[in-house]
Amino acid sequence: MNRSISQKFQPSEDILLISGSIVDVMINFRNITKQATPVLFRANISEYAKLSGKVSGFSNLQSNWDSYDAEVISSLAIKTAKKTLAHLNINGLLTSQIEINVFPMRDGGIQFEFDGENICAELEINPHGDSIFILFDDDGNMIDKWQLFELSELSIILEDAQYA
Amino acid sequence: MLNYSITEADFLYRRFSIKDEPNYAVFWKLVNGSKVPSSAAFKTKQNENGLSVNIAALTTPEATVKNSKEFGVAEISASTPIKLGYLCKHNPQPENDAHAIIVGDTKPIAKKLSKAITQVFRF
Repeated sequence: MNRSISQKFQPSEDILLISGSIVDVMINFRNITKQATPVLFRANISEYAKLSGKVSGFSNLQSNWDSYDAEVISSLAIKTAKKTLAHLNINGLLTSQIEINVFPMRDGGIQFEFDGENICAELEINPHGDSIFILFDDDGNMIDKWQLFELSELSIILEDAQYA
Repeated sequence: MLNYSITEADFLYRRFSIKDEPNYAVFWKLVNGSKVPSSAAFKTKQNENGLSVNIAALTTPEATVKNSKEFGVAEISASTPIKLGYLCKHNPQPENDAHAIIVGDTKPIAKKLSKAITQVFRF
């Protein structure tokens, strides 16, 4: 093997393990700052690709796609949904026990649904890209509803539910 | 046609999209291996005066579906919206005598409606 190529593609300290569809990535920040400690996160590439592909597919929907006069899915909603998915993936939440699904909304937005032993919730991304989080009880009664301003709020809620 | 009075004993039909790739307008999710309908199919848009449905007593799932390649039909009991304080009103249209409306903004009860589905028709 060409020595320079082999050296170039030698696994470094930055990317350590690849196992099935789950990739454990160890980023060692020593080269960036001496104070930083290694960070471990788990990303689920196949689930992310599936959901991301689904969100991209929403852009193909024509108006009246539900036969009840549904709107075209807005590009802002798609952009926000993709950011949300990336955030969930980076935080290891696509590998969790919480089922995550995405659906187009009739008003041109996108809806995430979260179903787990300790959580039943939705995230509505409206056509303007604003995110509303809605929490339900097991019977589908709304318990609480609020606007999310930071994606970290979402991951905190889901992590709490996961380890409750 | 005379107005039909919808009671808690009635059933209502709602079409839902089953289009898969490349658009993924599928209103289903898999939870623990079971297909569960999404509440997204039961949410009104802003400025809509209600959710369109058909009255089961006045039509059939086959007549409701229109295009069976792209849609299925979900059946819910009218008792669910009525018990939640929503009026279900017969609203016949020129080409659809069975048309009715669950009056008002159904977003707050969409999850309840999706969980109240009694039957699903796929053709």
